[in-house]
Amino acid sequence: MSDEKQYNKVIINKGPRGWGGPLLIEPKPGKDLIYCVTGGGIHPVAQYIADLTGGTAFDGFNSKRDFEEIAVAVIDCGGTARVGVYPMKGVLTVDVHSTKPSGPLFRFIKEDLFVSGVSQEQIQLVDGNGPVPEAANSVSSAEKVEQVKEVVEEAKEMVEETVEEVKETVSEAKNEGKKRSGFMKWLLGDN
Amino acid sequence: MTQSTLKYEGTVTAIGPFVQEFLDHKIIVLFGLNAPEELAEFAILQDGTSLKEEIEAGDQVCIDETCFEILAVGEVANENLKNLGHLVLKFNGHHEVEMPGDVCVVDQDLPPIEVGTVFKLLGRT
Repeated sequence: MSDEKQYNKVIINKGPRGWGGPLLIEPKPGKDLIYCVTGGGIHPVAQYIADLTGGTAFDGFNSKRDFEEIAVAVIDCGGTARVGVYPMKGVLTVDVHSTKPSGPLFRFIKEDLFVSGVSQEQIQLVDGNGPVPEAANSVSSAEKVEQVKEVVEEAKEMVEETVEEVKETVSEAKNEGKKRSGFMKWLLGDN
Repeated sequence: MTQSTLKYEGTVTAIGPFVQEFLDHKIIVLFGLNAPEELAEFAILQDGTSLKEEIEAGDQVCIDETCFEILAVGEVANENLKNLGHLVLKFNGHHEVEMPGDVCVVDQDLPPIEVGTVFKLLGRT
């Protein structure tokens, strides 16, 4: 990591069985820790967020840091303790397991602080300023292309339907001998 | 009790100031000694280090001399215990876990827990 860090933002959505979010993760100087509180060192999801954003992956089980330094906490909580503790402290929290608000601290678990069921596929760069790492693996890229194609197809269909409707309306208006201005008024919702 | 296997053992070394929040819901949250401070506040810290064999429904959890039957074990409970000394015991009598980290035991009153209390997880055979 260089001294002059360039940070990128990522947006993190809930996984297929997850809850909460989306969360915008925005590391800044002095607040760039990707605080990992999982078993077995830095979790791949925490490392991925760090790689994408330029933040610093940090193992919460190794030593203590102030919450003010934490851009996001990554947990592998089974649903009772960690899911509540970090949101309670006001720390943005990503659970790799598909948990939902529960446990005695459930009232602190809010959609703007917590997202669950997260794997790499749910993490995306927000702007194009930073390099997109190769790690944005081909499978998810291919899936994204498919998703975009679907959206484009849907949009095409919608446009075609709308064009047809407008055509029909125009011909109806013509048939009824209505003035064009009347049709425009209708189109603008003035009637 | 018939002969049983000791799967895990730990002695309580500290009790966080906010543990009662969980005990009131009949939930015991254990963590290993390296838990970050913010988690230690809500947890009972214990010094167990090795899970000899994965726990499963039908096993027993013993808190000092009082033992309770384990009814259900969540899919990440063993992983939590192995990696973090972390265990969530819910005394709710449920045979299916609500959350993946849960270990459900019979719905009974919790015994007193203090520094020095020994937790044991015992297999059936």
